[in-house]
Amino acid sequence: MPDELTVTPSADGLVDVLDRVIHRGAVINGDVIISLAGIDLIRLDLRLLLCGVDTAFDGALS
Amino acid sequence: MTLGLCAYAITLDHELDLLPGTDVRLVAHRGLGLVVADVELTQFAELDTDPAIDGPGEDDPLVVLARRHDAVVRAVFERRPVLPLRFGTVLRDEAAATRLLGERHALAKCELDRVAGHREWGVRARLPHRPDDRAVRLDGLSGTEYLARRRKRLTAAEHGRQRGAEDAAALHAALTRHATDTAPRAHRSPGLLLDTAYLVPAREEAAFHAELRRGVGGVEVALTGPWPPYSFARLELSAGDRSEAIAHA
Repeated sequence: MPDELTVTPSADGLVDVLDRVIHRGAVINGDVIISLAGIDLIRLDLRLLLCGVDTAFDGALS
Repeated sequence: MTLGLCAYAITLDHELDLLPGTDVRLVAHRGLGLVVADVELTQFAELDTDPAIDGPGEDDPLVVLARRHDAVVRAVFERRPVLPLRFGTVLRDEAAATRLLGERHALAKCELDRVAGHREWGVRARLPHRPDDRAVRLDGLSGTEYLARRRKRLTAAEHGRQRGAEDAAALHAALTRHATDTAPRAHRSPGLLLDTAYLVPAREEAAFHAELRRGVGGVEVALTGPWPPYSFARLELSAGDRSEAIAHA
């Protein structure tokens, strides 16, 4: 292993950003939240994050 | 046009001088602050594409908004403890923001204290890619020799997987000693032996990284971060008990 640990600039890891931003973080419920009549505010497909996890591995320690 | 208030994070009340040129601002209440900006709701409602078909690009509307969310959370995170909110949290108005901070004040404050002084790091481990030895010449081998060789190869692969799993478990245990909390990724790819986020206090970061450099043995390791504590803002805040929809204008 090298002496220096190179940290992947996380701003580049799109899959990681999407995973954290969309699937994690505190959730707020209740009447302060707006929902648009009849539709979810955001419709996302989990497949988005299931693909590409391996490509997100490219930033191995180097 | 329907305007709402996009909420990015809960933080401590402070002078907010981030992202000049944007309307990102802080709604403050009793020492806490909600980081917000005005948004046009239709841009959220139209995120019903399926970017998985080609993999999302940087110009995908969802990606643009997600990047913005991350940029705002990070800008706050660089200055103050932050509790990131899930992407797409949209409040009615500033009064709703104040109400939220008031009604869930104790819980939010407690969670904020828990992540203060920490950064999140993501660690993945998998078996290293080995050169494929299937190309070895099998000419001239008898059927028995061929089968013996094949069995040997399968056994070696199985041992490699077991050793990798043990190495990954040992690495996880070592990293956990330097972390306040850990969060495995919900949808781990089958090829990965470890895919976990660690909430690491500042004073443990050097030791945490040293652990990664040491003894990863037979596995390949990748690190991402530092991140705001996305994976550790697990709380659900309910403010009010009416769920009221507004018409989509």
